Amino acid sequence: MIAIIDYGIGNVFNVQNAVVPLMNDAKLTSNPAEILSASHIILPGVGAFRDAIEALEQQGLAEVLKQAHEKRIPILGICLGMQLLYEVSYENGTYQGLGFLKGPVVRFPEPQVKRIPQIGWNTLVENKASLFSGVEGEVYFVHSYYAQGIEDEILAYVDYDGVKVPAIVGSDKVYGMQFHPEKSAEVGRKLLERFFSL
Amino acid sequence: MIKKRIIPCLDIANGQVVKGINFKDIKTIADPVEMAKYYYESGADELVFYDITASYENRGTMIELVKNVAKQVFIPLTVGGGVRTVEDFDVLLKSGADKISVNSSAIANPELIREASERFGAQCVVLSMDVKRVNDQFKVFSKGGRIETELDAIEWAKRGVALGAGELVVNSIDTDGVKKGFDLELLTAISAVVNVPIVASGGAGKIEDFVELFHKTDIEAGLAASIFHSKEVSMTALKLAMKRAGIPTRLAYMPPLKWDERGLVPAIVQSDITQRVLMMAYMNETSLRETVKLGETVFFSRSRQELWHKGATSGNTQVVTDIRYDCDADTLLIKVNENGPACHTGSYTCFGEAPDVFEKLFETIIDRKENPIEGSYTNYLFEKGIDKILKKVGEECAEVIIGAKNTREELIYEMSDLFYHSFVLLVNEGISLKEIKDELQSRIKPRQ
Repeated sequence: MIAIIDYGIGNVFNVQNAVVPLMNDAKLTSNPAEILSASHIILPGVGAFRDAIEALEQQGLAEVLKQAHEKRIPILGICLGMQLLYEVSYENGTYQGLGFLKGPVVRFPEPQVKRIPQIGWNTLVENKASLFSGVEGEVYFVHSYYAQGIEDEILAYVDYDGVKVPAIVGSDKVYGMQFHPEKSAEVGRKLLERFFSL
Repeated sequence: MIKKRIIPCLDIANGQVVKGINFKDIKTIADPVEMAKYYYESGADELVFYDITASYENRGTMIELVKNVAKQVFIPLTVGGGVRTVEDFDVLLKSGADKISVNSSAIANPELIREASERFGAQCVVLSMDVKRVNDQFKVFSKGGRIETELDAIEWAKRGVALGAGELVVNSIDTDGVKKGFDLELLTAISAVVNVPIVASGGAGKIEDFVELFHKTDIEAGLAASIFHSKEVSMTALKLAMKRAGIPTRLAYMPPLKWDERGLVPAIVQSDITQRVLMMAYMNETSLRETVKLGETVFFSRSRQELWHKGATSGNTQVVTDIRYDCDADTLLIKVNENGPACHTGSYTCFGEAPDVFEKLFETIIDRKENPIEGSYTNYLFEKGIDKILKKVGEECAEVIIGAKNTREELIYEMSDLFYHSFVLLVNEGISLKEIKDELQSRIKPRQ
């Protein structure tokens, strides 16, 4: 079963819409037992980092995700869900994340970046060979903050006004996509398929 | 690099896509789910659904519609019209909308922008504004552009962003429906004072209007309705033209074609310059994808069983300007600007036809413009520009008059000069021979 974490933050409906045609047994859930017995976990998220991490903590899901990570269940964070995988975010304050990936989440630098949020389709550039290698094209981004991850964990990036923005990140069964694969047409579908092939 | 976005807008009333002028004579034109799927497959970057009735009664229908579209269309969806509270945001976002646009309700209650932005994030709050010039000032209008407000558009844009809007849609009432291009003056003025992405709306009538928008401003996206709905401009033709003009563009074309048992469909190639059918060949899924990516025809050769990039060795490439499929979805129509003969025998078409001299002349002039030759008189005219070309057209008119008064030979000579210079003028202005032919055709009345 694919567990799509339902913690009241963001647009889980669209993630479900995109995943169900690929994997029939995808389920929205906040049940720890279901999450820990899943074959794959998707952590969606839209909105503010603080609200999201607080919701995960309060519902005990941060702990469940840490256990899932220890059990080496493949986890995919999408958009804010990816940022939650990092150690810390500086979005309107300083907030600790799940810490599965190394580095902070920071705001786009101004005035180098002219338009914030980055909204739109940007072209993936491979940084490191991974299970996503060979899927080429544009994917859809909507975000104002980005992960300043370590080079070794950046699998693909996009260029936004000269900022090298980590787009697909990951290490050891934990993956993140800063864009929305569920809104990225064919390219997004192929990337999700690759994750489910794990 | 981030791509410039093209966004078709679907006006919705009672669950159907409608077309109406100033809310009068509203006509149903399509089923929204079918239309959304068509745009998705054509490579649209986003879709906007706008409830033009903005009524509570319509809310349930709108929510169902968004749910149905979101199950089949995997690109971002923006929903607007009649959104008055954060609860309205909540229910639409949970139905599959990615962004919510507010207009009149934000004018009546600007705090709505702040509340929604704090609760759902700036990325899903779109401030849409209808703007019109009043006494040399850009004024904001509400209620679908019918009621003038006290708001100055530049100030309102700044305030909207400060309150938390993550994107602006700027619709110019002055250029809307005129089809003479976007309101570059207004867009440039607003772009200078905000740091969020801007979507331009109002005035697109042809492909060149989008190219101009992206060349002359730093606006991120262009929105239009009727020119896309009428299929006057296809998404593919627009995206290919943007790519040729050096504008960062996402090209994704995945039509629901019925491939035959060999995985092929016939592709009819038509000249976009002379409108002649040039050839017929086959494409498979890979060759179609390569064609879109490259912007030149790539077929599947049945004899060699491999991809065939036409003109790769001979130089007789075909630059693709549009791709359409027929009503049975089993045949492609590829429109091209051909760089040489289509046929391996050297003939202009594979059906042994040659372009007439007018077509050939027109094509040569286009070629000179795109690939200048040193010492060419045609290039000299293009370099000098429109005033020089118009002066020549004027002179040739006078010479035709004089020639006609002298000898038959002189009239033929001067008239040819006039045709040539007129063609240069048309090419300079981006007018095709087809547009002239269509105009003439429309004037030919059948015998009573």
